[in-house]
Amino acid sequence: MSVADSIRDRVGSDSDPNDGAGSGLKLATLLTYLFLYGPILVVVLMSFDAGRYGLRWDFTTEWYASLATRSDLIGSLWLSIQIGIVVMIISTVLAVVAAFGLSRFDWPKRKGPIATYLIFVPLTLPIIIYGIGLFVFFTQLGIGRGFFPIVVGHVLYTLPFATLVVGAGVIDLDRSLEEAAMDLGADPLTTFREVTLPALMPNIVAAALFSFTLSFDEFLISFFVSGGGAVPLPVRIWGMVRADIEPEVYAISVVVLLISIVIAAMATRLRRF
Amino acid sequence: MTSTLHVDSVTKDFGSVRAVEDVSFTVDEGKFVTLLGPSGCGKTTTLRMIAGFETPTEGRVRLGDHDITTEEPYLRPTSMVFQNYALFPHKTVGENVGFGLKMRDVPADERSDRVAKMLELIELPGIEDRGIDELSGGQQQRVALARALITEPEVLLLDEPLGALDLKLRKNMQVELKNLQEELGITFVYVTHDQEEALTMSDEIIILNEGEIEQRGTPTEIYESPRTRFVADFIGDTNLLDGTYVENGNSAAVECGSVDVPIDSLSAAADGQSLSVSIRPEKIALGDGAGNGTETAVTLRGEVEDVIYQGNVAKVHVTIDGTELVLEQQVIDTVNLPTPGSECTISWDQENTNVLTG
Repeated sequence: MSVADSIRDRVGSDSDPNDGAGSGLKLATLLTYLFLYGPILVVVLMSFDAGRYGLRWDFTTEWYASLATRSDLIGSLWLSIQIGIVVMIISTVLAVVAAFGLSRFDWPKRKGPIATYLIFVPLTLPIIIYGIGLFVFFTQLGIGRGFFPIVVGHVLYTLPFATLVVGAGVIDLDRSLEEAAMDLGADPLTTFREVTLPALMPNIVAAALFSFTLSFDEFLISFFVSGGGAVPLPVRIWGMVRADIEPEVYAISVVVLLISIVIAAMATRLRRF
Repeated sequence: MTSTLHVDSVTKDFGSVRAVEDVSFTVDEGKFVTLLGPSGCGKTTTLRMIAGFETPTEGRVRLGDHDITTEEPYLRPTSMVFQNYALFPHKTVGENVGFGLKMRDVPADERSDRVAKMLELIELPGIEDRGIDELSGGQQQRVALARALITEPEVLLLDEPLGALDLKLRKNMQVELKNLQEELGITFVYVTHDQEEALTMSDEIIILNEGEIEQRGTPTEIYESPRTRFVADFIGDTNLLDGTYVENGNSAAVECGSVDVPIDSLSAAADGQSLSVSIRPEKIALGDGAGNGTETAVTLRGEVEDVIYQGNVAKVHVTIDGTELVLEQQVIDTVNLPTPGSECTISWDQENTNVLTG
């Protein structure tokens, strides 16, 4: 049963004639969703609003048209997508390796849980510390800011999440599937390719999508290590809203929102995650 | 080519736990041998050592003259049917069954011919394109069998393959498996904890307990002549009496509390030694009819304590000076069942008394 189903069960169907509080519940539910989606709705409405400061709302698509001419915003969007894809690939490959290492390697006594713990500790650490650390690290190395430092920072940030998602699959993986493949004549590499990898594919794809969206949204690390012409979209937007919000920002926010919705829909279709 | 399977003095330790201790047996080509025992007795570990998933701590596994103790599982001429079937969920039935052939680089058209033939053999023709999750438990079991058999293994290893099926299907599959094995002439090593399954299908049964072999024999030998207390107790229902061995001139007996059970004198046992005896309930008759004059009968008098009617048979509990024995009677006419509280005579052929030395 999905979370939504169980909540529906508990809230009760609204056709229940004995439910005197029905209309109250409806209102409460409506307000909850308004609270959840209100800020997003505001951005969407603003992106179609012709008057920038007026109390009247007039429909227009002009900001989307002018967005196409804003090479700074489009450039940053494209950069964020590129970073997201590179981070997704590196993070997912490393996550598969890490997940197998953690669950399959013959760890010496009690070292296994410690290794697992150390992989997941970064999930709880303040991200800003990563940002500062990476900034100092790359400055000392003389690399400075740019595409490569952002990718490294994002991989550090997304890897624990991706490992968690792939690791869940590795733990659930039925070892007898791999044994059956070997029993039928598949060497370890063929077994991995023919059986292990396909069985883990839903988790691997979920980890990849997860890595992409985390990187695509990431601000704090990017803020510290971006520059030199490489400014990802969240940092670019932040730079633009300090003084005054240009209407193209609303438009590009809606574009970003659509990209996120598409990825979330893809992830939801993976049954196992 | 003779490819007798030899398991020679195999021991397996998992850390400080000894799962299998000095187990030796051979299985002749074309035989159906069952490793039978309670969970944790080492039967599955033994099977996995034959398959190559575990390496013995000590001892060797040979197939004919070929030592396969440390050979990789994918190089061994053995196939395994797993307890949960282990069918590849992302592959179709045809891809599952043909997997072993693909690994052997059999061309695709020959592969599909052989898959089709194999599916006919298991009486599920034409289901190549179905997904695994579209099959019932019984069908999955057959497909798993087909996948293991298609590579024409020298030895088929089966790890409780019928455990997940319901009773009726299990009974049908027992007969089918046995027929299939006889038809193909492949050596089967079968692991189960179900004694009835073992008795039904096996040419020979090896009984394992706490990692060691208790007894090996045909189903008849195992059932009729258990040698140890464990075997007598594990296989079927029985009356187990613990006592001491008493020798008196030409006769001998085991004194079990209030009951003396006469036995043939044992050269191996000393006077006063602790021994157990086992008498199957169905070997004991009401009245002194056992023996028919030709055999030596054991006759005892007691009181009927309880009669439990079970349809085709009735279990009659009889106490002899406080020692309870259970006997099983065919119910031909319910009127003839004894009434609790009544005096009775019971008897059995002395040769049906099994003296348990271990």
